[in-house]
Amino acid sequence: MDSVLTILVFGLTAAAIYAVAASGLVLTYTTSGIFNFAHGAIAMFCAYVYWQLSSPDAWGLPVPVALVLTLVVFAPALGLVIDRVLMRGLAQAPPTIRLVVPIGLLVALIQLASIIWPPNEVVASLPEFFRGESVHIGDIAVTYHQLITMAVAVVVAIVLRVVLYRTRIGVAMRGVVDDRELAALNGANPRRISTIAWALGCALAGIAGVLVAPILRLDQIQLTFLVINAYAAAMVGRLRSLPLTAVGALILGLARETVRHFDSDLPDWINVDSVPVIMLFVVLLVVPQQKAELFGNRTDRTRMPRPSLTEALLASLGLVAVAVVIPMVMEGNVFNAVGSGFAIAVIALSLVPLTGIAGQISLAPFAFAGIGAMTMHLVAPGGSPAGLLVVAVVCAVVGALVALPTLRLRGLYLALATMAFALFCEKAIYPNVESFQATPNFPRFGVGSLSLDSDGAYLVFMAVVFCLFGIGVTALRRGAFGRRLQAMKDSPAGSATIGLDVARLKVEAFALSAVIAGFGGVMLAQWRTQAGPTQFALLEGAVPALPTILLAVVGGIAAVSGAFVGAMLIVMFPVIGDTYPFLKNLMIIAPGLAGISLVANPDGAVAQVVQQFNGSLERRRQKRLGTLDIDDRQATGPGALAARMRALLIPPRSAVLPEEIPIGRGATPEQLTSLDGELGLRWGRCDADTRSA
Amino acid sequence: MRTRTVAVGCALALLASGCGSRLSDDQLAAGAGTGGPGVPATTAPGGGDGGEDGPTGPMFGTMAAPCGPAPEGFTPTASETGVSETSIKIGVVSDRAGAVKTPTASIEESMQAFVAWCNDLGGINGRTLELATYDSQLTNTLAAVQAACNDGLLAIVGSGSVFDDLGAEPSVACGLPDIAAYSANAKKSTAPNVWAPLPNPPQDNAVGPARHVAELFPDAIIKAAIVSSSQVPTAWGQAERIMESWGAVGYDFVSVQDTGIFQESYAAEAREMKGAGVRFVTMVSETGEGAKLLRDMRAQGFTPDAVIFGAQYYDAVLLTEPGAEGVFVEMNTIPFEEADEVPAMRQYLDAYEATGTGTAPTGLGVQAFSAGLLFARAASNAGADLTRETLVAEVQKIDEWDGGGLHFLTNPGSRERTGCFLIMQIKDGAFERYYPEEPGTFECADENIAPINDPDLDGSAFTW
Repeated sequence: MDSVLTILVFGLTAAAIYAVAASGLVLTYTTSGIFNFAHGAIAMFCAYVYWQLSSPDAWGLPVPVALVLTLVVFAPALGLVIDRVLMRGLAQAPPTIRLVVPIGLLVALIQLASIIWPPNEVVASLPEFFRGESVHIGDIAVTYHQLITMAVAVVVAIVLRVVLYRTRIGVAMRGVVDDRELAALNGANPRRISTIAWALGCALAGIAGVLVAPILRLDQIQLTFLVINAYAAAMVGRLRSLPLTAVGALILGLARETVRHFDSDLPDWINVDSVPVIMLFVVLLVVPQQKAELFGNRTDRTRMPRPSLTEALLASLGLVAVAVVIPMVMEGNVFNAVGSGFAIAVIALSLVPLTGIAGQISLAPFAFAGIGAMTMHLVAPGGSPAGLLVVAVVCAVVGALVALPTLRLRGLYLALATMAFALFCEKAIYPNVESFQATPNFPRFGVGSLSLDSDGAYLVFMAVVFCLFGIGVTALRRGAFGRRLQAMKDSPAGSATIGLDVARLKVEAFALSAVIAGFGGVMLAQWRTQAGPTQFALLEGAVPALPTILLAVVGGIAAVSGAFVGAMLIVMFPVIGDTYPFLKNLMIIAPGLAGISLVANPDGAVAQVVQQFNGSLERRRQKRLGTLDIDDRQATGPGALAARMRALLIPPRSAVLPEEIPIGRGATPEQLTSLDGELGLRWGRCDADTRSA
Repeated sequence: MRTRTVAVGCALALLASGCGSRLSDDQLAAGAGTGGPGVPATTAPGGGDGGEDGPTGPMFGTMAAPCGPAPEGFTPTASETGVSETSIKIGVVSDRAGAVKTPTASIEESMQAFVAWCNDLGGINGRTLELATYDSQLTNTLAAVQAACNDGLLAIVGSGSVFDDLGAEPSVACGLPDIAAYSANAKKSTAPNVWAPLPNPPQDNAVGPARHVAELFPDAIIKAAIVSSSQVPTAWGQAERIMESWGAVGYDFVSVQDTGIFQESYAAEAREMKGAGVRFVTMVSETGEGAKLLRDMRAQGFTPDAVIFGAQYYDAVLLTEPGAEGVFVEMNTIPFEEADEVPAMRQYLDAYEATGTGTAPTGLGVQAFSAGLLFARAASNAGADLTRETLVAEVQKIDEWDGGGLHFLTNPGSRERTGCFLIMQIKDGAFERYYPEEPGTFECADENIAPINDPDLDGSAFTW
């Protein structure tokens, strides 16, 4: 009986924390349609701001003043900036970009906070509210702070429910998410509503930060991660229902407490750290997904480069030639980094067929790479190439196994499921394989007298492997299988209608991707000559996976070259920072910023460079013909950039008054276009009118 | 999400809790005193070969400074790696970057402080020290050590990384002598190229503080509890070493709390320990987690007779927690509070502050500075013919070392542990010396070392 009471009370106090954390996540998703991966990072940032304002070690303002400044001024302002700069452009972006940009924000905020409040220099701790005061339930003490957290969780749930369902602005928010165009036509202003939603969402994150930081401790990582644990709770409410989210939080709190209580009787892979991940995975599988709400009708229009095989072959020869030269011109750290870059490029390449071509978003490539390396270590610790066969089989099977239960998941749900799998590997699989956990040696391949022991030889080997996979993916892209994958990306329902076995396609794509990633993992381990779980961790570790995936998308995940560029960026940023110390902070924050920049260039860097190159050719041609049309949005230079930034943050007042525009053919095309812009429309009545006029 | 690497960051520093070398009874009697409050370390014979005929030049604490201009008749020669006629190139590897606090935070700054101090005196026999720095980023020790290997250094000096086992093999393979601030893992401390001012061999463990607490609270130690996370292998390994070695001096761990890496709350653990009648608590984890444990123990009304934490908990984080009042913390180095009584500590802090860093100094930073001094002493003794070989030969000859009074007397040359300790207590939100009471001293005895059965001797297999 005592243990039941204990579990209940402690489960409940933990649940309150998750509920507060998850409610903001649900609010932003409900009101903007964007899953804010960065919610925890925003909470963390607000908590730091609150510390800076209120702590006697910092500015020492009175607590109420600091609270108001943080929650009523700073957090909404941050929300406003995030909305203006990032989220507005995301409304119509392809699913991958909608997922990745908030991840970029998460990475950038963590790094920014580490620069402003260096963890090794600033001892920041927030005291609990009413420190030392508590009430007793039975003989269990519950602190006032925990009671406040619970009360806030309840109040937030009730208030949000009322706001979203009983007020005009709340209904408009939900309307905009369901159908932006329709809501706009009914008089809602999607932009204003989006701004309010983000301001409110950030204020909620701020509340969570200020309440949870004293319980958890104020640092850059813990608070961010706590919200990731709360994903499971939010998914119980399907990111929609706040009462169900509260139930989810309760289940999570009780489940963790129960596991903690009976830890010694449970298998190793069930522990307090793996419970949220397992729950997230299970919830994603069990809870029905409402397709229409999950970017359902926004198809991915990412540009797909289709290089010919000859082009791919030539590029490959070039790359191998470069790999031969590199050891002669580089040494030391730069050389090491470039080598890692080649291995990581193979891992990133695994996303091209899966995400780029087939449209299946995965956050697990490094988990597959880790499984590949672990398998290699277990079956061929001496580095026998035959081990690769086993790696291929194991990775294919694991990839298929991950794909099977997630067959009906798309978009965000699939991304979260793959993230849950990646975290499950870290928290439950690797720790139970002791020899891999201990970061074993990975001798390089060798057959007879042919050995890849030298760094130069191994670099060329990695380049060859990358090129073989690259050519393979290019061929696949041009073949029947590639077209089927592309069809599945464009319309799973349509593909099924014309008789494609979508389930099988998806399993095949996952298996293929897992095999490529597994090989990449083995090569990363062998290049380093030593590797363990930290090389394949999602957020922290030698090569943090999330920023790497981010940069692969930045490079352009639809193209083989994009994967290569992304991998090189992630390894070169720190090297640049080391070489030029004044750039160090910029380089730390660079992956996050690059991810954020995708708002402007959803096709990725490689595509953009090609596009700009073609564009300048075109302009030159037009100039020659005297038909150059100056488009100021294409203008470059600091002045134009500043003007664009200003327009972004302080939008010029609208010159269009809808009631002044004549109906029908009386309207000029310019008027109709600006009306479209005002309404947030890209197509529809006005467009048709223009054409008929 | 993944926080293992972060947390591990911390736990390991505990190793610093048992360091030193086993001295003969004579040496102990002469040096740091046996039993009872020890002879002040400031009267110890200090830097071994340093003060043969009464030092006349500049001093560091109680020993003659190992740095200075070239003596007369000194004709420096350039050796193949890292040594020119005018300079010596060394490197320091430590965990720095990232979004988490690292226990090794002040190591690099301490080495910069040391190099600046040494160069001010004229370098080592007139050769200026050049310091290269490498960030092992908690998880990147291998790459950092490889980079150090590529840079043509004479030696790695003052290093300390949480996952230092990952760098053990490459530094042996590339023939780099490593005079480390501390060694966190057995693979590193048993590697043939590693010497440290406070050796930490895996074959035994320090039980001095445990024995002292046992004398004070004989009834409590048979109701002992230990809190750690089995998901952090290094922390858990250290917890097991504590259970084994402290068990040998009478402790009975009736409650073993295996926690998550980070937890929101330790209330449940506190209640379980309270329910089991626990009267003594220790913990191997990150310092912030220690503060949370104390907070929740206090909230749940669980007040054991004694709580003792390892050396890494000598950290301001603990001082802001009201529940930390009365907690004991072990130390290997002289506490910063005694800078006025211990000249070496004052000199260290002055040199440290001169670097202008915002990072607070730590015990591991002090050990790094001592490693720098140890290196300088050996390099200076090697004379004109300074090479990796002569450096190593000279380090091995140094069998008495206290960094001029920065820490207790050790035997770095033979890499054995000394049974010396110091216990601090948190009182009124500050660290206060608890035992031995005399400022600047440590308590030393042979019995303060307990063997570990079946130790991990990974690194001893390397060929050097």
